[in-house]
Amino acid sequence: MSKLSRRDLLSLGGCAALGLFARSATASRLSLMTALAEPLAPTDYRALVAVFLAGGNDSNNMVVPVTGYSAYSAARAAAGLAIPQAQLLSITPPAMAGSVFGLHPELAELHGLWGQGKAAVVCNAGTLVEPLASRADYLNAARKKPYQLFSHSDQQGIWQTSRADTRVQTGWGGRIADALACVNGGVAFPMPVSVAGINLFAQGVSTRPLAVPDSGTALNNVFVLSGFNSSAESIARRASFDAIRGQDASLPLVKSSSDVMQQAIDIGALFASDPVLSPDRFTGLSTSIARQLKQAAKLIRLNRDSAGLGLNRQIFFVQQGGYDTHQNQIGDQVALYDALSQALNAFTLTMGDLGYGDRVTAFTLSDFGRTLQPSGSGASTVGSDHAWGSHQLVVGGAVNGGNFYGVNGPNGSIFPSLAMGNVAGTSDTDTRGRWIPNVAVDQYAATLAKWFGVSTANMATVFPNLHRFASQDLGFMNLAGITTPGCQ
Amino acid sequence: MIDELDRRLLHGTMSAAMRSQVAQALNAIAPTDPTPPGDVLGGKFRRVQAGIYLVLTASQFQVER
Repeated sequence: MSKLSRRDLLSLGGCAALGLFARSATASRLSLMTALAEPLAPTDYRALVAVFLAGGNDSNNMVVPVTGYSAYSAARAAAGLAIPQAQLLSITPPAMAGSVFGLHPELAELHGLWGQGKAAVVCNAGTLVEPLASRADYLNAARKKPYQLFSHSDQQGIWQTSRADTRVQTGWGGRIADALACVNGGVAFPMPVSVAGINLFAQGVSTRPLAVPDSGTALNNVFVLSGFNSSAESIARRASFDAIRGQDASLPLVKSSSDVMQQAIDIGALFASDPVLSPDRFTGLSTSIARQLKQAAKLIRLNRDSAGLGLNRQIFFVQQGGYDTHQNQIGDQVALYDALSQALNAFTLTMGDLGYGDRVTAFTLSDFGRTLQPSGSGASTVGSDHAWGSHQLVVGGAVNGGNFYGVNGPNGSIFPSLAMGNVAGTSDTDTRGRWIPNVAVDQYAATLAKWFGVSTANMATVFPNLHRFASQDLGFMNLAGITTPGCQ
Repeated sequence: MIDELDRRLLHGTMSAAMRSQVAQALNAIAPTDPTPPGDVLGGKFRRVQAGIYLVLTASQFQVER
C-alpha cells in the first residue's frame, strides 16, 4: 500500500459507499433518526417552498408604480435603468385603491397568476430587529438595527434565520419543522428538503434537512449504493457491510454516523423509481430554478403516492442566483425574471395537476433590495447597489392573491415613497434610495407559518423576535378551513 | 491481514464482533492467485480490497476515537 495519511483515507473511504451521500455530515449534523416508520397517506397536506433570489433582488424594477411613475423615472431613466412605462404589466391592487402599478415585463406568467388570484406582493420587507418607523429611527443610535446591513452573507443569513439581532445556527424553516414534527406521524423522512445544497433555512434544533440535486438527476440516481453485484463474494461483503453498521451502537458518534448512513440507504430505497410528472409542465424549461422546482414537484408527487412516505408537511428550499446586479442589470433581469416567472408558473400548474393547488405555497426571499439610484449609466452597463427592504412574491392557490400586503411606512402607505434623501415621508437610509423595511422577515415568515399550522404557543419559539412587531399576520394567506395540529 | 487493517486504520480498536463480520466477508472470497486473462487481480487481491472497503466505510473508522 502506498503511503496514505489517515486524512486521505477518510476522504476516500467516506465517499466510497454512497455516491452523493453527505460526507460533510459532522457531529453537529448527525441525525438520531429512527428507522423509517409505518406509511400513512397525507390527510392534511401542506408545503412551503422557499425561493431564494440570491444576490439581492432589485425589486424596484419588479414592482413599479405607474401612478407616480415620474418619481421612478426621475431616479432611473437618465441612467438607462428604468423600465419604460408602456412595457409594464398593469396591476391594480385593491389595497392601493386608486393607484396602478406594473410588474416587470418578463413576469408575464406571474402576471397571469396575479389575475387568477394566485400571486400576491408583500411590500418592502426586510431584516429588522425592532420596528423602525422612520429615517430618524434608523439614524437614532439607540434603536436596534440588524447586524452587518448591506452584506450579502449576513443578510442572507438573517432572511433564513429571522434573527436580525444575532447569529444562530437554525433557520425558520427548520424551526417550523421542529414545531410540527409530530404531524408527519413518525415518518423519518425529513420534512425540509433543500434542492440548493446545505443552508441555514432548513436547519432546525432537532430537524436535519435532506439535500438533493435538481431534476437533472433522476431521483432513483440520487442515493445509489454502488459497488455491489450478485456474486457470492459481493453478497457476503454486503451482509458484513450492513451488519457492521449495527455494531458499536453504545458509542454515540459511531451510532449517529451509522444512523445517517442507514437513513441514506432507506431514502435510496424510497427513491427506487423516478416519479413522472404528467403532463410535464416543465417541458422546454432548462434553467436551474426550473430544474430545482421540478425536483421539488417530483418529491411532492412521490410523497403523495409512495407507501413509505405520506408526509403531511413538507418544506422545500430552492435558490436562483445572479441577482447581484451592480452592472448589466437590464439584460440580466430580463433573463432572471423570465426564468423565475416560467418556473414558478410550471410549478403552480403542476401542483394543480397533483390536486395540491391550494396546498402548496411558494414565496421569495432575497438578501436585500437595491438602491433606487442607479450605479453607473448606459443601458448595457448600468446597475444598482446593495440596499435593504424589498418586495416579495407569494404564489399559490392558498394565497389571497391579486393584492399588495404590508405595514404602513413613514409615507402612510404599505408601498414606500420613492423619494430619496431627507425629505418628508421618505424611507431612505441615506441619499440613494435604500428603503428601511416596513415589514420584518419575522412577520412575513410568521404569516406563512400560521397557514402551515404552527400554533400560537409555538410561534414565539420559532420566531423569537416576532413579539416586537404589532402585526403578526399580514393577511396574504387564506386561512379558511386551515387547521392547527393539536399534537405540537 | 485483519490485524493489519485494525492496527493501521483503527488504532487497534476493532471489536470482536466487527472482526467476525470482516472475516466472514473475506472467507467468502477464495484466495486465488491471479489467473490472466479472466481474473486479472485474483482472489487474494480482492480479499484485500474487501477488507479495506469494509473498514473504510464503517462508522467505526469514520469517527476518530
